[in-house]
Amino acid sequence: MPRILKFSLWAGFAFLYAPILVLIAYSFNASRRGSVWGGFSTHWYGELFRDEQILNAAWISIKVAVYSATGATLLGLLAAVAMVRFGKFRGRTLFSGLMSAPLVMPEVIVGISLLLLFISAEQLIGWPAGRGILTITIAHITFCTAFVLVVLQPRMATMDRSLEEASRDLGAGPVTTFVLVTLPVIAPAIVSGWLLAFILSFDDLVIASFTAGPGSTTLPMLIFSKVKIAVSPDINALATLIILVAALGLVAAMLLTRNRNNQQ
Amino acid sequence: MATGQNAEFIRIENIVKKFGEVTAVQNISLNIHQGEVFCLLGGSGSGKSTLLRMLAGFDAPTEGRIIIDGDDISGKPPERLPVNMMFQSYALFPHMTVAKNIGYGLRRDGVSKAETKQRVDEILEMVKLTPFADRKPSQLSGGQRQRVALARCIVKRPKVLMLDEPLGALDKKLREETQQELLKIQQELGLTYIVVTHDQEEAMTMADRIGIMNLGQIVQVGPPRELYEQPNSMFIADFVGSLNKFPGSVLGQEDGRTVVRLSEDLVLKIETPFEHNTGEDVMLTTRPEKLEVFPEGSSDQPATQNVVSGTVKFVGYMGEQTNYTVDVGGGIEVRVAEQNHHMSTKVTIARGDTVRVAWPARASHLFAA
Amino acid sequence: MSGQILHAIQSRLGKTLVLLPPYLWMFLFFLLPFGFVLKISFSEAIIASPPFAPLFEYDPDEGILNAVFRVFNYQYLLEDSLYINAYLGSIKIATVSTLICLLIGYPFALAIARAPKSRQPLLLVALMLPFWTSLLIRVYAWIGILRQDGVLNNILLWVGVIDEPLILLQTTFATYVGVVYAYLPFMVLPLYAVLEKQDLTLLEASRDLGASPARSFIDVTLPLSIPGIISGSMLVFIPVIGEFVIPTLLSGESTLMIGRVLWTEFFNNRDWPVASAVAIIMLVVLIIPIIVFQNQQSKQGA
Repeated sequence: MPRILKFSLWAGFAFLYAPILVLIAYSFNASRRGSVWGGFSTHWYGELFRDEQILNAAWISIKVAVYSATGATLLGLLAAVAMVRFGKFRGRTLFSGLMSAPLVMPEVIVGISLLLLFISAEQLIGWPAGRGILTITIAHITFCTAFVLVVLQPRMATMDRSLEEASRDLGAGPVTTFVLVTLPVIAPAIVSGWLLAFILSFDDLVIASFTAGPGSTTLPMLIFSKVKIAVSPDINALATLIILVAALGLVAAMLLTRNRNNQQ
Repeated sequence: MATGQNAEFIRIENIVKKFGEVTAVQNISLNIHQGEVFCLLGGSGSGKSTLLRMLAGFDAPTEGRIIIDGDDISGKPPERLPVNMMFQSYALFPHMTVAKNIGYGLRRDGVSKAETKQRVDEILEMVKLTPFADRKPSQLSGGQRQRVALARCIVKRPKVLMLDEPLGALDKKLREETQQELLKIQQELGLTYIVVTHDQEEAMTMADRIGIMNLGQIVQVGPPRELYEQPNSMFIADFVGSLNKFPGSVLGQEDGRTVVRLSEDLVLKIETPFEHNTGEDVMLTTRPEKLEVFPEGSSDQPATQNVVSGTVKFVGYMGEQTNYTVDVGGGIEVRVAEQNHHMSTKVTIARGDTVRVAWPARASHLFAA
Repeated sequence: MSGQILHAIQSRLGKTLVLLPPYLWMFLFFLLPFGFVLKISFSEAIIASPPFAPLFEYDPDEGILNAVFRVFNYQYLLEDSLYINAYLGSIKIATVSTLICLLIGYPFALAIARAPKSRQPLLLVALMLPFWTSLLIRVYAWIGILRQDGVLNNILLWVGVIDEPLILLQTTFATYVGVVYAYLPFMVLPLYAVLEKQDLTLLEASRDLGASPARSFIDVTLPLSIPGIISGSMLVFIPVIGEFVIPTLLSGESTLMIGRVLWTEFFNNRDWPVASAVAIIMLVVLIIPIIVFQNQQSKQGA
């Protein structure tokens, strides 16, 4: 590999990881002032688990992320089947456009438009009554589905079609074939998609801020309100934990797809 | 054929190539003549592709030198070599038109736009692709792509043209046609070809000389006929064409022939250029088409001393020839191939028939077991 | 015969059942809401809940439905230089950041794509990890580095490059650092995807035909990676236009970005109609990039 490529590889990774490492280091700093190293301490982690507000927000975020990931995975799976298996159906262009636009749509636009929808719908038909976990979940499913589809579609497209044909040939109907053959084959991608959706939902600040109600402050909303005012050491600890969870999720997702590749 | 202009046009001297611990090419020395079609034939992992890549400049030899037309090319980058390669995958640039693909190498050599266009047009004419000049490679058939790949190389008038499995991607019908086309251009332009292939039929029909490679070494070099009829080793005999192989032992000499016993009942007299000691264990090899079968009681008389009786176990009608497997007793089965000279639908020999196999003295080779 | 018709109907029905839920969902919760944004952008802010005047009013005396479209929100946006400057600021920051991401990301992606196949999965995980970590947290991490008593200033002081701490935070520089940092993986991933698939014998062919390594890169690698360049650039450019978190945490008051303006109008000023108009104009600005992105996506999907 040319030296310039090697350099950009390591420089790139240094750039991506330096802030994260600094953050993790700070989280073990005993001193309240960020710049001074006051010795190693896990004090801020203890603080974290005594903070009622943070625990509440974390619980709300986890619930929303589980619901959203599940909903987005189901919708993404159906969309992947349609995109890969249905060939050229009527409205395919609009469909694929609707499915990929959320990947790039600025969050403030998605957020404001969904809030205005919810409010107008409440005025017109009385649903959804107020805003909270339900409205955040609907919003998150909407943008997470696009990401799940990005994970599922290539896996579905590269799947050996003859497996499904063999199942049909052996007497199984299309639904049975899908459940007994297709799903197990693409299962690792489904799990990866679910994990990605979970993380995206769990991390979202902007869309949740628009669609949340008074009693449904998510963890990123809480973090944002805190860091806007000042750097607080307990947020370093919280951020480190979130990074850890994300890392575990990603490694799990990668291992799943890798095992599958090895089998083939 | 233009061979002999310069018998040392390409000199490969004690070439060794190691990839870490693995030795891909071990100590090959070889001369290739100007204007010949030289074929490197070998299985996968034989080192033939590594040798080709060194000749084209993609890999540098670990040891040794490669001299093309007096220039030591070892260690020079590919763009500085007077050698061009027709890739197995053709490696046509998908984002360029046919004309752009063909003109690419000329432009890199600093040839002016006008001259490039003129030379590209000439070559397009030559490979009959003029109407396709503005197409992209994806809009061409396999045979057309192959011709673009060839044109892209020969337009640069290279001293040597390397062809990596040139017919590999073509179907059977197209192969013969393409092969003749390749040779025609080679002769018209007086090019030197180095062909790499794993397909012996391709090698036999194209090459003036073949170098057979195994385990990173060249095992035998010679014209196709010599390799087929006078293999210098069991490996070569087995590698080229199909073969009957029987273990046996030498009983002695008789009338200048070597007497070999294959089983209790089967003793053959063989003419071989080499002396074999009495009692030596040998491997006797015979090509199926050198043998003949006669139906029991047929009036034709085998014109050889070695005649063996047996039972037909298998008859395979192939069109141009028929393959027989004959059980001659003692656990020995002999494969015989006969040309179907006459147009006849009558089955003359069927499974279970008793036949005689004529085994001419000059039909076999003996190798040390 | 009737069996075939039945079968065709079943198959049609099955397809509709699969297609309908995602279609309907995205229509209701992605496409339809834009209609409401458009509608409310023609409304007027009032002190009420919700804080905008209805567009349609039923007049019981006349028995007709009156629609009142107020265009003054848009007039206001055009007249007040704050908004125009914010749009221009966003476009400038998004453009420059996209270019920087491309400059850093291309060799980065190429290095991963050309690394030994056995090492690529590990490098990819390393690349994806920041992407899986909250944007908010990653941007927040830069505060600890860039502030006056932060890591960077401390290092520079210690090395002796500077005598007193630089003001890095709340500058346009910090905005660029944050944006490039946050969006770099979005550039690298699509670039890696096209570069990894590239047939390396094409490079050998161009070398064989007389091109130097640099020339081969320009003639072969670069043009064949254009789809990745387009996808990556759009994945950076479009969301950065509406970026809110980064300018809020890292930029100073002078760095105007439209996402932050929209947020302020909506949450702080509670002027929903103006915020809606801001969103509509942002969509108009983004419509061409989004179409380019969509085209690229469907080409690659095919």
